[in-house]
Amino acid sequence: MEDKILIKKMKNIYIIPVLILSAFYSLYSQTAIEIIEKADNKLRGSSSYSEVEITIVRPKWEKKMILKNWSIGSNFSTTLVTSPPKEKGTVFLKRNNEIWNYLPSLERTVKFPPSMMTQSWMGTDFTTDDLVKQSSTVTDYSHKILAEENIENLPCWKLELIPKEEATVVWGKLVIWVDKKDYMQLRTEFYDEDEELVNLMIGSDIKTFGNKKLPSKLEFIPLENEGQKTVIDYNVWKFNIVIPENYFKTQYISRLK
Amino acid sequence: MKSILFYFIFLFSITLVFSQQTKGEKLKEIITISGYVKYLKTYSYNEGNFIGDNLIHNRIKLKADFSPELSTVFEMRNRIFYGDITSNAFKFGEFLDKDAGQVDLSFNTLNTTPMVFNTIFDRAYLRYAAEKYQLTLGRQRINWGVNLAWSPNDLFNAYSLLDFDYQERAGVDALRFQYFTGDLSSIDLSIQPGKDLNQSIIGFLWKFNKWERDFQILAGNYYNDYVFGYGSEGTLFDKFGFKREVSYFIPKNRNRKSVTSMSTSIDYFFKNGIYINTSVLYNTNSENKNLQSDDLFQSIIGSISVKNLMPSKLSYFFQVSGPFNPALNGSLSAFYIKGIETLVIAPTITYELEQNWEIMLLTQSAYGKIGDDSKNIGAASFYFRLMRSF
Repeated sequence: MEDKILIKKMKNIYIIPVLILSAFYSLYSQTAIEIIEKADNKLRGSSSYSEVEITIVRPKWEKKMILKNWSIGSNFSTTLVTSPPKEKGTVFLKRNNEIWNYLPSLERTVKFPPSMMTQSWMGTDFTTDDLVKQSSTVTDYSHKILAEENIENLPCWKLELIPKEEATVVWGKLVIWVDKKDYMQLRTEFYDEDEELVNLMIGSDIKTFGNKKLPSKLEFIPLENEGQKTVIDYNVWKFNIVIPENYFKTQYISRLK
Repeated sequence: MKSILFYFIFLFSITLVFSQQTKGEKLKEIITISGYVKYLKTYSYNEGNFIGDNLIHNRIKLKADFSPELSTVFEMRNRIFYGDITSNAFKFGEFLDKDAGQVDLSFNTLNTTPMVFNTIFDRAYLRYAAEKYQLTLGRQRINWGVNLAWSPNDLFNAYSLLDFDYQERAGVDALRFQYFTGDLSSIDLSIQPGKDLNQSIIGFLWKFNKWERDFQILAGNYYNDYVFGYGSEGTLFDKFGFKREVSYFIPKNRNRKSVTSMSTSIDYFFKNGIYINTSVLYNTNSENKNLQSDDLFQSIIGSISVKNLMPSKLSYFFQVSGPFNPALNGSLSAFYIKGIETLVIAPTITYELEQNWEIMLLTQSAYGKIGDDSKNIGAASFYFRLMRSF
C-alpha cells in the first residue's frame, strides 16, 4: 500500500516539471498568437472608420489617392475612393469571402474573381488582400516568437507567421515586429513562397487616435524595385463606432460619399 | 409634348435647388460637379482611303442632393467635331441631332460643313432613395448586364465594347423602382414607356445571392417580344470568375421566330497583374451576313440591340490587359466573328501623365470577308486621346 503511494508520489514528482515545462511552452506559443491577436484587434476594433491618403511613388512619377474605409470585424469592409476625380466614387466591398467593385462611370457593380486578391490594388505596392484583409494574420497563420528587438527605441517582439496549409494567402511567410507596450505593428517583412524577402512594411509617425496609439504612416516597399514605394497616411481613424449596415450591401454602395 | 417630362424634372430640380438655397455655402453643399474634357484625333483607313477627324469632347456631371433621400442628376455630353467626317456630304450634324429617347435632349449649337457642335443630356433624372427602396424617374442608365463583352440581360442599354469613347453609355427615358429585399437581394421594375406596349420595354428583375454567387432572373415585355432571362456571377474551381447570361425572346407575332442570346465569360488575374477575360456569345437572331466595308465598325457598334449584339451567330472575345507600371497600362482585345469570318483587333495603351491627365493610343482594325463578294480586306482606325478629368 505504502509502496503504491510512494510510486504515485514519485510519479507526481516527475509529472510536475513536465507540467511546468509544457505549461511554459504553451504559454510561450499562446503568447505569440495572443500578441498577434491583440495587435490585430487593436487595428480593427469591433468596427472602424478611417480616411487615408495613399501616395504611389515611382522614380519620376507620383500619384495620390484619397480613400474612406469602413469595417466591422474582419468580415465586412467597404472602401470608397474620393479622389482623384477619374476614380472618384469607386467602391470595393468585401463581405466574408466575396468581393464586389462598383464602377461609377459604368454605374455597375462587378463581382471579382478570387484571383483578384493577390493583385496590386489600383497600382499600389500592396495587394487587394492587404486592403480588405481577406486573409487573417490570426487564423490563417501559425505563430512563433523569434526574438525580442528594438525598433525606433521601442522594445518589440519579432514574430514569425507561417501560413496554414489550408489557408489561401498571398505570402509564404511573414515576419512582424510588434511593440510590447502598445501592440503596434512597426515592421512587417513579406516573404514569397520561396522564402525570399520581397516586400517591406514600415510603420512610423506614431499618433493617438481616440485612445489608441498607432503608426499613422505605413510604407509598403517592394525590395526588387529601387525608388518605388506606396505610402499610406491615416488622417482620420476612429474605432468602435456605429456604422449603418447598409454600407456593406451591394445595392447601397453606389450611394456612399 | 415629349419634352414635358424633361422640363418637369429640370424645373422641379431648379426649384428645389433654389428653395433649399439660403446662402451660397448651402448651395455648395448640395451640388457636386465633375466630368472631363477629351481631345480625340482619329485616322481611319478603309479601301485605300485615309480620313482624319477631330473631336473635342466634354462631359459635365451635375448632382444635387436635396436631402439624404432626394437627389437629381444631369449629365451633359458636349462634342465638337471637325474634320473629314463633317466636311463630306453625309449629314453628320443631323445624325447627331437625332435623340433615340422619348424626349429630345440633343441639340446642335453649331451645324456647319466643317464643324458640328452637339450637346446631349444623357442623364436627367430625379431619384428618391429610401432605406428599403429607390425610385428613379427620367433619363438614366439601367444596367442589368453581368458580362464585360456581351450582356444579353441588358435590356435597356445594349452596348458594344468597341465604342471605347463612351464608357457611360446612352441613357433611357424610364421609370425605375428598386426594392431591397435583403442584404444582397432586390427586385427591380423598370419601364421605358412608348406609345403602346410594342414600343415599350417593361422589365422585372430579381437579384439574389446564394452559395457565394450572384443570381438574377428577369421577365418582361421587350417591344414586340416577351423576354425571359437568367444571369449569374460566381467562381469556377474557386479561382476563376465565371459569368453567364441568357435571354430568350418570344415574339408576340407567331410568324416571327424566337431568339436566344447567350453569353458566358471566364476571367482571371495572374499574380503579375495580367488580367484575362474570355467570352463567347451565341445569338440565334443573326444571319451571318457579311459586313459592308463602308459601315464596318458601325455594324458592330451602331446598330446593335440586346437581341442582336453581334452580326453573327457565334462570336468570341478575348482580352488581355495589365500594367507595365502604375502609370502605363496596356490591353489587347480581340473579337472573332464566326460565320462571317471577321477578326477585330484593338490594342490600347494608356498613360497617366500626372494627376488627372491621361493619354491613350488605340487601334481598331478588322480583317475578313467584307461585302457581298466576300473580298478579303482590312480596315483600321487609329486614335490618339488626351483626357483631363475634374
